[in-house]
Amino acid sequence: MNRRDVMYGLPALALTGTMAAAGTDRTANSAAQIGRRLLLHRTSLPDRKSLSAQVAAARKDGGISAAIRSDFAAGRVVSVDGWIISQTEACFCMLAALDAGFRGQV
Amino acid sequence: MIHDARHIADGAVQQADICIVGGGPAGITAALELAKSSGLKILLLESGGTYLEDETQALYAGPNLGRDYEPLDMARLRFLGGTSNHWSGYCMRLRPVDFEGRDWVPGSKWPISYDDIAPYYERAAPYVQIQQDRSFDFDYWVDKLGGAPIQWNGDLFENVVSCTSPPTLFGQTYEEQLEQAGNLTVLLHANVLEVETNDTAQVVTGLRVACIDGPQFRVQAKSYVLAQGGIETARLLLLSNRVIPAGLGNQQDQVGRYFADHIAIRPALWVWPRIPDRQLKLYNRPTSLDDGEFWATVASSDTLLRTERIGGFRFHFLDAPAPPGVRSTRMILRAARKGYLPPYLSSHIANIFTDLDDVAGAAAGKLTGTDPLDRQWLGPWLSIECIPNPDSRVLLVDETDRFGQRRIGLDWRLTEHERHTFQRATELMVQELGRLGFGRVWTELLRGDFEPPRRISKGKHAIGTARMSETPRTGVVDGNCRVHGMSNLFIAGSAVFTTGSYAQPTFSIVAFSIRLADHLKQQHRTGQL
Repeated sequence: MNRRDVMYGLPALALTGTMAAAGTDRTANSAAQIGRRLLLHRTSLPDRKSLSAQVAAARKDGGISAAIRSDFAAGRVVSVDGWIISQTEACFCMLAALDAGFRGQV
Repeated sequence: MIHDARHIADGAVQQADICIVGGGPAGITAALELAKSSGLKILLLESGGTYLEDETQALYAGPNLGRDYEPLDMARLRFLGGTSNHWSGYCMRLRPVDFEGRDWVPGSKWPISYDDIAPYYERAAPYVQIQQDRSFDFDYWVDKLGGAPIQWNGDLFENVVSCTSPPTLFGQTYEEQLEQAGNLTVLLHANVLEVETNDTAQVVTGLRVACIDGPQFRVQAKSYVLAQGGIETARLLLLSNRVIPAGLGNQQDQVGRYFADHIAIRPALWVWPRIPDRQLKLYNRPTSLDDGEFWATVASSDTLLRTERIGGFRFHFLDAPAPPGVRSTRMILRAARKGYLPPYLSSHIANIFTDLDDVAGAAAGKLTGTDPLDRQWLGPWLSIECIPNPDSRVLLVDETDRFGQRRIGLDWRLTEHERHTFQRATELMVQELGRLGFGRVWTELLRGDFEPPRRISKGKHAIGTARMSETPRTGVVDGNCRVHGMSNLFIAGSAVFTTGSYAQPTFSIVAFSIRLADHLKQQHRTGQL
């Protein structure tokens, strides 16, 4: 993961709302990289259905950008190597990592 | 008139209505205000001359007994103009909330309110040479400069103005006025060794003064003002122990306690900003005005300070000197050269590996002279108020100076409150930047094991050692800056601040001196002094 992963990957996610629609391999790879870092710090793999449901809910309620801003306003944030991202973004990234085949070391 | 005390006859007695000790911003302001249309005879005693002299400056030396602090003979300056001679010039006002008691900080309530000092800020502005047209009216200046304010959550932050003084070097700037005032005499090279009192220590009867390798003499006045700064004022009170062994004003062991400063982490976070330039330009650099500068600053709101257990704080949105990964690389290399490991080594290594593009860009820049990834990072500086702590203090030590006077030692301490304020302020800023969609943030302050660095940036603002209080149980002076239990001894300067605020103190020091001068004039006019 590098700065560009964070800088380019997450805003693209926020705009498109899905990994598929994010369009580029680069964005998907960036999100998956971030997702792997998040998953490595967890004691168990998150439930994929639950993550999908959270993402779907975020897309429904005013769009992803609004959900991200709302997360920040409410303090629903997580730290990845010093970067602070929203809970919604974290869900996206963990989903991307799982889609990319991440299975373990959790 | 300005005279050199070394020409006074040994054993002489100098007479005045009011004698001020210390020729820094507090003392010079008080002297000039008192001399204005009062008919009072004012005497200002300054230990130094009109420029730095090593042997006088050495009188300031003393050990640091607690946390790392600047050497005490470098943290302040002992010649006409005092510590304004190395002042950076930033001016802010105290806030109404600063004067209110906080139930979780014992003795934090001032005996006066913001309304008692507010009128004096307007009169203080010309002294520090800041622009005087609605100096601190944020919206007025934003409108005038054609920018747009950032709309922070008002329960958390507020936009405030930081005005910049040239900075005013009080000695140089006011030397001519001091020289020309007919009822004001400045004595240079006059070191006050003791405040003498009557047998009950309620009335000051004189000052014992000495020059280096020169005469000793006495000063007699109707009232006296100590304006030597937060460290030296406490020292003189403690040294004046002929009647009260603990020192003047120190019956309740309050003199020298509550020493505080403003501390800062520079930068506290890195932001790759997406802030519209119309807004950012007000915050990331001062804007020059006809007099001084305007700088939009983000500060803790009064609401936040009333609802959370947190000290005041302010963010200055400066450009970052280097991206985070480049900074970590430099820190590791610097530490390796000196043979030690930097704190948070694993964090720095992770930081480099997650910032390889910037690190590579910087390396390429060294080789080719052009960084292919050159881009702007913001690195907001975070400065905070230290919560009053009675165990953070100055005290006399056994070592003595050339006059045989015991030196002062500084036992500076921080508490859990400061760590919390740094972290909570950063957390709130991260949240607000995210809420506003203003960019991504990287910071190490939100780590669970974060501690303020041992060598932390300081304002060199000595605050609180003779604090204002309702009773002598919790402080040294009353609401009029008069030493509790004494009729004619007053203190000027940030030593009297009960709490430290997030605001830099110099502008308030000047305002408090004007207020004190008004009070003394009124007291002398009505025969109460």
